[in-house]
Amino acid sequence: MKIKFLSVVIITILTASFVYPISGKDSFVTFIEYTEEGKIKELAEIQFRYDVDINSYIDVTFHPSAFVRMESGIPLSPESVRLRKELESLNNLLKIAREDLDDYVRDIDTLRKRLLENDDPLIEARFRQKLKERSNFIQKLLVALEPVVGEARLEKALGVSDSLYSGVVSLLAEHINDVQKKLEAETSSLIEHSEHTLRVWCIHSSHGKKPNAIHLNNYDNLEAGSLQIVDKVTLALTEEEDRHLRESVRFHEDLRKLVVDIGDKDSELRQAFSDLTDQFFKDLRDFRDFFGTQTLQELLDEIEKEIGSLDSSEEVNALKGALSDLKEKLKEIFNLIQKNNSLVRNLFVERPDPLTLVTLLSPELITEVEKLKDVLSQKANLDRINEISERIKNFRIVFKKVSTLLSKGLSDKINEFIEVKFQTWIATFSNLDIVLSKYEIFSDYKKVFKGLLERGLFVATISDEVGDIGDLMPKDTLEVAMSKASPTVIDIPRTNRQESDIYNLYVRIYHKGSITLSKEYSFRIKKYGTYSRWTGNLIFAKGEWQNSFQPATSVSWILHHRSRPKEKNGKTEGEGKTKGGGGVLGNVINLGIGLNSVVFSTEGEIEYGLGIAITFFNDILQVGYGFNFQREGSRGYFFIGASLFDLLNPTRSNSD
Amino acid sequence: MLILPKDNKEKARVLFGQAIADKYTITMLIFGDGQGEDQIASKADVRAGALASVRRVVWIRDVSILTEDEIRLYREGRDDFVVCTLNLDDEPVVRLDRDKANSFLALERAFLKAEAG
Repeated sequence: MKIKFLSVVIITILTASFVYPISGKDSFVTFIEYTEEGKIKELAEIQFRYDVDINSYIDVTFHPSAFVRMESGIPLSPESVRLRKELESLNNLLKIAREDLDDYVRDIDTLRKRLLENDDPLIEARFRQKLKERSNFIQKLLVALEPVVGEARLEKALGVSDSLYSGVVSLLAEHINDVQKKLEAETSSLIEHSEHTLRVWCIHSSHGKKPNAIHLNNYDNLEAGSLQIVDKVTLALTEEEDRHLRESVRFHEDLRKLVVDIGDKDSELRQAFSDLTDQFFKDLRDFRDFFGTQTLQELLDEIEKEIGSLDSSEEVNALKGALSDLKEKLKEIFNLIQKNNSLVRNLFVERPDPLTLVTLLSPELITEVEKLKDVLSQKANLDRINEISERIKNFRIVFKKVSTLLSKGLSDKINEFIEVKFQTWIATFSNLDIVLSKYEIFSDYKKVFKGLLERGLFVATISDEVGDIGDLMPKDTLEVAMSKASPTVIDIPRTNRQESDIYNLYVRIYHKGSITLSKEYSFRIKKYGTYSRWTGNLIFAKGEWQNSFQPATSVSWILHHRSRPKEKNGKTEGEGKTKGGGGVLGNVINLGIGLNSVVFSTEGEIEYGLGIAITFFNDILQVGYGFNFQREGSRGYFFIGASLFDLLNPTRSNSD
Repeated sequence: MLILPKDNKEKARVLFGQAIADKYTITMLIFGDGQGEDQIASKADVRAGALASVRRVVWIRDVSILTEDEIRLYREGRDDFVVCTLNLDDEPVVRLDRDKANSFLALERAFLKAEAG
């Protein structure tokens, strides 16, 4: 008896250690997506969310053998261990066949081409190696299959010229299914006595509605609901689509008003700047004219006249020196005027940000004006002139006259001018400040815009949240013995659904009232193939009769085509992992074409236009050309637009 | 598939020489005509399609174009051997008699063995 007991312990330990390394390969629940077109995909573990077609239904199959392996505490039979090992080996073969055969052919072709161009021993070695690897794998595949599927079926499968050995791989997949069934049968007898039970339920979450449980055949007493196939290309709107479109149009109309208002205010400010520029230039012109054409010229003429009457060369030179100094001083004054002139011109022509202009450039301008004032207030070399006057008596009168003219006439004139003009400029800058203060209104716009964004995001948040509600088990759920875990179906076409709805499938296994396993699988609804959708936008349209683009609210009906994920070597993308959607073109650019209707509101009148639009990135951007039928003469308009609402609200905008 | 002409031995011989000299190919030779060899050649051609850039089928309908040495090498002097696969070094690897050769599975295995070296 003792020996027998020991053998049992050893066998149990060996069995357990033998089994654990191969765990984690197969899944307790598998899914197959079907549509009206037939079988679409087979799925194993879904870690997050899988996209399925809006008209699809999903077969759900439970695999007790996987459960037995997963911490169930159910002892394994030697036959189940053997079958599992066989399954493991066959699955490995299938994986290579689906994932690597194509690569082998491609590599061999490439290497052969390179060899024909250049006899490189290294390339030849790689070519031979690849050929050998591929050959060995296929031989292994045939050896594994021949005894189980029979020579006749293998012969038939090889009767097709196919580098991927699809026929043979299909036989392998079939055989794997057979072994899997044997394993299921073997393990179900183990489960029968294990007292494990199963509860399965599915929660449907739809935007704007309370999440609700849907019927799962064999697992609840809920009503199945009636079949409702969704028409993918239609002008009709569902209740939710209608609400979304109205919200979007309202949002874009408010955005349009904001854009128009900002545009108007901006024009007003630019006009104010333009007026100020004109005023400033006028002041500068006055300044130049004042000195350039009147007093200064008269003074110079008089001085030259006096100098002309002198006869002492020494005195003449001295006086000429004084005159030269005066001219230099005047030149400096003109340079300063010119400098200020170009400074101001640059400021206004380049139209910098008004606030920056005041902050950075006003002090500089004022400094320049101060300098100008200093220079103008100097008594141009009067000391030197007086010195000469003392030395040369004969010319004292002349110098006196000159000095009087300079100190009184010129200086007074300059002071008078500066006092008047400088005050004018100060006033000008004050006006500029007042105008600039109007720019503060833009901070109000920021608030309004922020409010709009928050409004859009609020809708988006609601949309996003709906999928996460409801792990609550409905009371109609039945508790089923694990040994009776029959397949069921998530019958999506029997639910009132729309794009982006979420179906969460909950699977719970109990043992004597305690939960031993809890799993959740999530599916999101998408429209695959050709489908239509409505979208609201803010567009900028430029009519043939207009010089600039005008904002307008529009509504578009757009046709899209979304491809399913491509299959590689017979294996569906997403199998065993979380993936959905199509390729780059299908998912990211998501080109659409359709009709666009625009409302033009100009000068209190409302006009309608209809055009063709091409959209990009899930209708976020669109361009098109249309006709304004309420105009006479030229009616065509080009437009470019965006749906900020959809951008903020990706769940509702069919984002991938 | 390269079908060597029966009515022009010289040309057939030249084509055969070229086929053997063709580098980096796995060649399957089919010998004879009139006793079901056409069916075998057709099946071999199907299997050649599984690796079209490398596998080649040459149907020698008139075996008299072969030299004694070649007959010994490829058919081991036996008339019932109707298929012979050559590896990358043009060495015979597998020979099949008429019965075995009429099977996709046997032809596929013959190709695979030649590819393995």
